[in-house]
Order: sequence, then structure tokens, then C-alpha cells
Amino acid sequence: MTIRVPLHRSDLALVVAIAIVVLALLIAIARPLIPTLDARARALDSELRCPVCQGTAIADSPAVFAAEMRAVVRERLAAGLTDEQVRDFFVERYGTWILLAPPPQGPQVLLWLAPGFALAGGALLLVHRARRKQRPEAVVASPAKVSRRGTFAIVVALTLAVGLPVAVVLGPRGIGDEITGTVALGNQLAPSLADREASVASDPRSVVALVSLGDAYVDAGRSAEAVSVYLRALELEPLNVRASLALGVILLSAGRPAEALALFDRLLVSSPDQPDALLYRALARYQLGAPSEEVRSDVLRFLAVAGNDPRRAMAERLLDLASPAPSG
Amino acid sequence: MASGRPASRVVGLLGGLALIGVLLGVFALAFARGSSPGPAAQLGRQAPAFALERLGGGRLALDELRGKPIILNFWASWCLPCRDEAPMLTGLAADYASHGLQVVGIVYRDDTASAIDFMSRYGQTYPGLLDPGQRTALDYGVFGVPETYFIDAAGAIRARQLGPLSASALRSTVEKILP
Repeated sequence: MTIRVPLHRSDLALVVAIAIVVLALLIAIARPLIPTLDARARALDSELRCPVCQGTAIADSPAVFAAEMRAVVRERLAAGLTDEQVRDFFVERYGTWILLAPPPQGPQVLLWLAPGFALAGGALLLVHRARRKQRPEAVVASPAKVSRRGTFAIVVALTLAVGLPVAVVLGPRGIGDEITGTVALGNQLAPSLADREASVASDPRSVVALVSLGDAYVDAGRSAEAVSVYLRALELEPLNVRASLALGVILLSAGRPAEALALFDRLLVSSPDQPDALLYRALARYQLGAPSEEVRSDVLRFLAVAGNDPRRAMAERLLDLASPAPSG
Repeated sequence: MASGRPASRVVGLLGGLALIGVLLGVFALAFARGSSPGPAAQLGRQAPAFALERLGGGRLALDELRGKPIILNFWASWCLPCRDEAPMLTGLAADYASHGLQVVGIVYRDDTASAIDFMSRYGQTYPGLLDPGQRTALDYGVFGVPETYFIDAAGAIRARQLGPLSASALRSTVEKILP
């Protein structure tokens, strides 16, 4: 015996809507299986965070390190590794932090399961309604009401089934674009060199902007440009501590201790207990072969004012080096 | 029955809204928590092998140092804190030589001439290795310089420092890898 269940128009609409959603999800799942090696590599590039940048995928980063990582992705894919194995390679080294959209953990799993629940709920609703229609006495609601409820069910099912996966996929990308400001990772987390050049261009008389640009040039190994920028800062503010120190250190590194000494001398007149100036003046004096008492007096003052400075060991070494040679 | 239906619709609607609210809450939580890099990823792992060209000639492989506690320091001549670390590491290598401690520097994104100049200027007497393409840095999960790994005699990474080390931190951490 066959029972013929009369289907209402709103039920049909619901079935069509669910079919569309299921089809869309199937296409979304199947798509990554098809692409070429290059497309896989590009997809991975956009999933991996550049470790020396701020929340940027290696796909979007101009950093040399990001380029190396892209090369590693391609090498590993060409060697026959799966996308998952390539991801694991980076996760092993950097933790899941390296993934811009890490796999869901803890309560996030709920978000991933939500579309499934919504679909199952919709299906249950459909079965329930079909069963009720088998018993004519159960039909109380007017066709208009049934149609409104059908529309409501479709809207809820569609919102949950489509909206949530979209939110989950797009959400973590949003996190990745944010500056999370976590740990000090060396010199590379500051604003880019181009940003700093732009801010100097917009305000050429800003000492802060000039010093910051000088620091960026130092980090980029462009000492000559750093020197000219620090000099400009010192023209505007002759006793600027940071510019004097940075310039002095460059001059020391460049084997020009006499010029460095002049800078540190000037700085120490206005700030007699500036620890960096004391230590670097001791170094400059040492390099110039100054009397050991002069070197030692600077180092001792540095040690007295520097507290837990990481350079204490270096200063103590300098103190040893500057010890007067034993006579005899 | 007719009076029960609007009530059940309201309950259904409220239930749906509550569900959406809970999901949005979970989402906001995940969003706010963000993620941060940590030194934990490498701890306890075997230190990745390398065989690299030495500044000043020759090669050095990690395997050659097997059985010794190792401090592996990633540095560059353009890195200001590295200038302070180099003399500290040289001093440490001398002080703990009797324990077999080996300090090794790996140059990060730098040219050979600047690196050699840095070594002589800052008294770096331990080996400095060139890392073309930063492949070794990548293998260790380096974020930037300076970055330092403390490897025990069995070859396991016991500690990792992102950023500059103070002399006291250096000495207390090295104890973790001494035999």
C-alpha cells in the first residue's frame, strides 16, 4: 500500500532551498581537490602567516623571508607532499600560530557543526509536517499560515546553513589582518621603512619621525642613509639623545671613534648619567687608545647607573681589557 | 490547540534567536582571543640538522657537535641587540668550555662581508655560519633576530629565547642544558 503525501508549495520551496545549500556545500568541499599545483601553492600561501610581518599571509608579504617560505611551499608540493603535510611542516616549526585560520578548537567546533544541525533540523521539520498532513484532522492551520511558516523555516535554515560557514571562513582572516602586538620579535615589527619615509616626507621637521626613519635604515643595513637622517634630526634638535646615540654607534661601527667620541661627549654634558652614552664613550675611548683610567671611569659610572642592563657583561669585559697592564 | 500554536512559535523564535546569540558569542570569543606566536612550538623537539658553510671557510654540521650542549644564536650585523649579545656569548663559551658548551652563530639575512666585519668588531670567536635562503632559520621556526636556542647534549631543544637575552637570563638558561 502506498501512502501519497500531498506536498504543499512551501514544502517544495524548502526542499529546493535545502538542495541548493547541499549542492553549494558539496561544490565547496570538492573544489580544493581539483586545482593544479600552482593553485594549491597559492591557496597555501594565503593560509600561512608571514613570521616576520604583522598578520599578513606570505602570499601578500613583500618580505624576503615570505618569499623563501613560498619557495618551500612549492618545493614540497612538487615533491609530492599533500597540502596537509605542507601545513604540518610549518605548524611543527611555528605552532598553529603560523596558520591564519587555525583548525577549530574548543567552543569554535560548535560554529562548524551549526550548519549540520540546521540542515538536520530542517529535515526533521519537513518529516514532521509531512506526517501531520497524513492525518487530516491534524490540519488546523490555514494555508496562508502554513505558507508563512514554510517561508520562516526556509529563511532560518538558509541563514544558519549559509551565513555561519561564511562567517567562520571569513572571520579568522579578519583576525589575521589585525595587529595582535604580541612579543618583541627583533627589529621587524615596527612600521615599515616606506611608512616612515612617508611620515618624514609629510613632516620633514619632525625629529621623532626622522629618528624613527634612521632606525629603520639601520635595520635595513643602509647606514649611509641612516647617518644623513640622524644628522638632520640633530640639526633640528642638537641634543636629541636617541639620534646622538644611534649616530655614535654607527660611527663606532664604521671605525670612526673620534667623531663618535665628540657626539658622546656633547651628550654627556647635558645628560651626565645617560648609561648608553657612558658605555659607548668608553668604547670610543678604548678604540682611540685613551688612557685606561678614562675608559674605566666611564665603565664604572655605567655599571653604577645601568642597573640590570644586559650589557653589564660587555662592560665588565671592557673594564678587564682597559686594566692597566701589570708592570714588570 | 489553536491557542498553543502561537505560543510554540514564540518559543521556537526565541529558541532560534538564543541559538544564534550563543553562536555569535562563541564566534566573538574566538575572534577576541586571537593568536600569538610562542616559543613552545619547538621545545622538546630534536634540533633540526644543518650543515652550513662557516664564515672564514670550512663547514660545520650539527652532527659534529653531537654529545655537547649547544647554544644556537641567530644574528645579523644590522641587528642592534646582537651587538650586545655577541660579546656575552663569547664570554659564556669561554666560561663553560670545560662543560663542553659549544656556541654557534647562524647569520640571518646578511651579506658575508658585513657578517665577517661584525665578528671581528664585536669579538665573536665562536663559529658563524652562513644560511643561504634562511632555510635553517625556517627549520628552527625563527621569527627574527636575535633568537637563541638551547640544545642539550642529546640534541633536544630545551629552551628558546625570542629577542635579546640579558646576561643573567643567558646564564640561568644555559644551566638547563649542561650535563
